[in-house]
Amino acid sequence: MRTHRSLVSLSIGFLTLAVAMTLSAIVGVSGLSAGDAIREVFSHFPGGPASRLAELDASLLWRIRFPRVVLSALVGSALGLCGCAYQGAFRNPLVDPYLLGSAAGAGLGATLAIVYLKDRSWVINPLPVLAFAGALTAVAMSYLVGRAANRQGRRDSSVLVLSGVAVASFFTALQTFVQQRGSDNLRQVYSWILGGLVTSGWTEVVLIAPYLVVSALVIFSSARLLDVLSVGDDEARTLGVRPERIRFVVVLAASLGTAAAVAVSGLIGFVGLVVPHVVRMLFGTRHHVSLPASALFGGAFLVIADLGARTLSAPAELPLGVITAFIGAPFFAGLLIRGVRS
Amino acid sequence: MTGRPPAGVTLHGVSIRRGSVEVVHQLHLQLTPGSWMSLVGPNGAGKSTLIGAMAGLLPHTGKLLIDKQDVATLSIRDRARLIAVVPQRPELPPGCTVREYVLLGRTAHLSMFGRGGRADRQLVEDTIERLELQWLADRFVSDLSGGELQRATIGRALAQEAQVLLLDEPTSALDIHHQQQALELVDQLRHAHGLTVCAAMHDLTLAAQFGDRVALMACGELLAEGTPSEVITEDNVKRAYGADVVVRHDEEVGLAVIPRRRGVGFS
Repeated sequence: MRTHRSLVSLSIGFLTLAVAMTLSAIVGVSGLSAGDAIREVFSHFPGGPASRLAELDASLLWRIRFPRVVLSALVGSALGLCGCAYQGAFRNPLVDPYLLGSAAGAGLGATLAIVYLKDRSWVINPLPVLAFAGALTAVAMSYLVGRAANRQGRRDSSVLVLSGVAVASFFTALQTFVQQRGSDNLRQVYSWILGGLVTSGWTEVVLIAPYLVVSALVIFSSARLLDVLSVGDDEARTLGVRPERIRFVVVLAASLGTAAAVAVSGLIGFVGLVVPHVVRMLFGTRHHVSLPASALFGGAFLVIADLGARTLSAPAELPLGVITAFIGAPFFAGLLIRGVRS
Repeated sequence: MTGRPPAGVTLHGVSIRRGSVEVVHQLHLQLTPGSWMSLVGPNGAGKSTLIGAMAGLLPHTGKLLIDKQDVATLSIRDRARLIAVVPQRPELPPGCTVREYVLLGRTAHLSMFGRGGRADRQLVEDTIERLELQWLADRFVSDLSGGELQRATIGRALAQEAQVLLLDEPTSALDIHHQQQALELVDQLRHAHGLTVCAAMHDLTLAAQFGDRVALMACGELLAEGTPSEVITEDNVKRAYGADVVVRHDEEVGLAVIPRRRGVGFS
């Protein structure tokens, strides 16, 4: 029963992600037909058909569109997985992966890079690096404040959530201050805050992949322990685990994944909150199913959302964060109403 | 169940604070291996607090030994292999079946990131069968009735293979039939598996029927400790609860505590 449910959910998840990635890879605004794109891919296999694309078009596919599809799948998977992990660690379905201030920290890092560093030449783009550092700094500060408060006597995960709120507010205030000082760059800052994968390439994929792998490995290994946390901290202790230690490890790993994702994509809301909800409604709440399924469906969702972002009002691009909320909110509302009624 | 001999429990000068208030003062208590100790006393006497400290959930001063091992120095995993708890109001994890819930009891026996092997699953199936939960095994715990949930929680505790079972007012949410059923079950399991049981209880008659010994607490102190007929007397009940009761000794049912009507016009 248990294995059967896992297999079904993971198979559906893999299939959905594969279909979404294929669709996103062959559809675009550059005038290349889907058939040409498919022939181009298969032309690299032994015995495959000859490509009909000019070198420039082939280069566009391999250097712009394909890495963007891969990156959107990675970022979506990371946000879905980390959202599910955060919700399990805090036993709260309203939590999202930006809970401990990673979004606000990344926002400050990105704004600093845009305002102060964009006019110089760098070996690697400083924006994702500073966004990543900002996200991790904010999470670390939330954790330190939460720990200091817990030392005063409260052993309560809500203290950590509240310290995340305080740190996020502080970082947002700093970010707004820096942004106002460099008001020439307002448009660029806003464009980053609204999220998107416009400048994505293989460099970004390589940049975040190691962090996402580490984050995913730790989170997947903690699936059973997250199930134990679902009985509450006191009962979990009588069963032989330290909830605060599990929470620390899972939140650390999820924050690493979120920071990596947000560093290359900006602030994409909704995925980390809603995808785990939908997955739990469809496949149940046990973490050995909900974690991998959230990763697969998060990836598929963001791939489709990014396809919409780059095609719906072409040649202009819509902010990815707008698309995720635009598709996700009504879909989630529908599921919620159906779930409550049944 | 445990394959180990029953464990004794010793409390020597145990005091427990909740915030700035000391709710249990200098308590001395001895549970012999394989015995059932009923902890009774009015609301706020410190029964649940004492259960919490014995489970390692609350810090305490003094010595709290289980199987001659100091609870305060045990690792959390070792403690869970020694002591299992049936809470008063268990948290119900959403979407968790009875089988998965009982499997949670194996947590302390699994490696940190392990999933539970064939032996663990077999033990869970045996426990489910022992508690006659087979037909509920794939139901969600959140859908169970009070009595069914109580059995599932006892099943989870049994799967821990601990030597000491702590019950915090285990029958407070149950009707009289399910109260009787749950306590009989625990007593059978105690004899079958060599468990030492410590149960905080409100019903004095049930506490006397099932306990080998009874500890009567009030305001965080031990008022009396001994066999049920030594402890549950009209005077002791008056002293601890301020209640007017008749204590009857019946050959068939044993000791029974019956409240005395004070009548109309009592002021």
